[in-house]
Amino acid sequence: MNSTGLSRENDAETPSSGGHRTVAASLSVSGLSVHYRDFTAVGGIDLEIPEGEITALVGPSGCGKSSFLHSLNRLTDLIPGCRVAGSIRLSDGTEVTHPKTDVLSLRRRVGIVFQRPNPFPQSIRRNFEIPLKEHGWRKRDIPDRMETVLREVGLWNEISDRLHKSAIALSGGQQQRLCIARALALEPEVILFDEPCSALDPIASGVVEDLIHSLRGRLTVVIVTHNLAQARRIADRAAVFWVRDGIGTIVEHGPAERVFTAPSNPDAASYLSGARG
Amino acid sequence: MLGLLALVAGGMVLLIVWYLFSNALPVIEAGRLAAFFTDSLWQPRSQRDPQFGVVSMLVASFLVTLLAVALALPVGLAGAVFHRFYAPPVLERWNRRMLELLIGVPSVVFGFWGLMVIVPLIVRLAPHTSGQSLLAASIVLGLMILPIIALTSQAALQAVPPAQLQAAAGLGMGRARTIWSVALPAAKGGIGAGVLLALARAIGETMAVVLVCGNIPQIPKSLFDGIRPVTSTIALEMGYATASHKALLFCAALILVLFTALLVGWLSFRKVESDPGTGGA
Repeated sequence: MNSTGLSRENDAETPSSGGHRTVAASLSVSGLSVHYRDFTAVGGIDLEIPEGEITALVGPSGCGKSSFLHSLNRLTDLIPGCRVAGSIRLSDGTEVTHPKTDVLSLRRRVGIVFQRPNPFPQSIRRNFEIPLKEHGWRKRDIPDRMETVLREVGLWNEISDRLHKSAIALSGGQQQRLCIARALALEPEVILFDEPCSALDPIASGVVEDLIHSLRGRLTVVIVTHNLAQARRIADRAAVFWVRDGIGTIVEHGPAERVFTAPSNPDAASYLSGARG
Repeated sequence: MLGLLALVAGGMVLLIVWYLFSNALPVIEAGRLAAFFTDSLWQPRSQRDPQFGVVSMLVASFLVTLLAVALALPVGLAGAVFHRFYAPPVLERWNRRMLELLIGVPSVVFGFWGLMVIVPLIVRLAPHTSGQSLLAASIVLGLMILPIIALTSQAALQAVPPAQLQAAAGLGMGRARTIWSVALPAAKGGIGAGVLLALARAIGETMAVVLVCGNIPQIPKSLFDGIRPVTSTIALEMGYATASHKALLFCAALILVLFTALLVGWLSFRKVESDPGTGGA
């Protein structure tokens, strides 16, 4: 696994990961459930997400993968009536679900990239200035930071001459890589991907996939994907979500190779073999 | 049939402009148009020294409009931001009802209220004036256009795509920066359209202004000076105007319409130019 066999990245650009100050963090989830008013979307989740590895969350639609993913950096707070119970612990001991946890700095440490690219409809430069300023970067440090991450996502050579132009003039794949760069700029320890390739064409999807793969080892990656082949290619670990008694839960998890080749749970097995779901 | 009905609206504008133009024609034919801009006084009925300076009235019209917008925009925008991002939904609904009511208040009521409440307050502030002044007219007009600006701004802020707010939240941005750097830039087109509506409304307003502006045709030197916008002049004088005087008033009206059209055209042109997402850089 762990090999795409193709090098679709721009070879002229070398990822300059050496300057990264932060280290990856692990996440330890136990007894987690996500409720929307009276409805329980996800329940009984226990999952270890090791640092520096890529954990893929797979399963049919509507089984709570995204709800779970959004609970990892408290984006569930944005949904009126949504409540999260249980424990999510970062490796430094930070309890994500604790009401006193500083949500803004938590979200800097646990970044997220969404399904649809969502750059701010402003200049490319502003897309970096706005969040970096919020997290205390000095104005004169921002251009270097922006260049570093744009190089990391292989976008620098493509767009360095139009940083003052609107980000929404970029192609879908470029926009998604911009969003990844924007998330990386904040030096997160964990980065969550919510079906990052499903709104992109196959080529752009491949580029983004390779990019996510290249983060392995430096960051902890959690990715929700409907593309089983993609999960197989990039994941170190996998967790299969399934709806049981009307509640989404994890029915199988472990090293990706074992989960994909020899699942023990019959639902997971039939889903992964393409028979169900 | 639908097309015909649609044409009525556009056609009316042309009809009105044509009507103004044909009634103003005697002045234009007599070659006295230049006097509108060169004469310093407005005394069209004077036998000895008739003067037709309309500049002071145009200046008054634009000053009072700009001041009204300058007063109403911060208040309306702040209110819209508060209701979109801070207030509980119940309060938001109530406030919107109130603003909708405020839109429905007849302008003469605004003017009367201004005369009874605002003008005495200004007299207390500046005891040696009549209180009927540029400031009074601006405040009354500002209150009149406040609901327009507030409601359009609220609608524009509601229309900011949730994905943008989600992106901001995902980047760990707090509410203040999200509003300032994400929501307001995304809503600025809608807010601009609201300001444009308010401008057009304010510059043409007659009834509320005529009661509180002092009706002195001069270029004001302070906020407490009386003014006389073009609309007030027309409303006050049209009743007793005869032949040539009437043509002069029509001419003044025509000039106001053209200036307003230019202003609106220029502003909306700028909006179209800056709209395709390139702003904020």
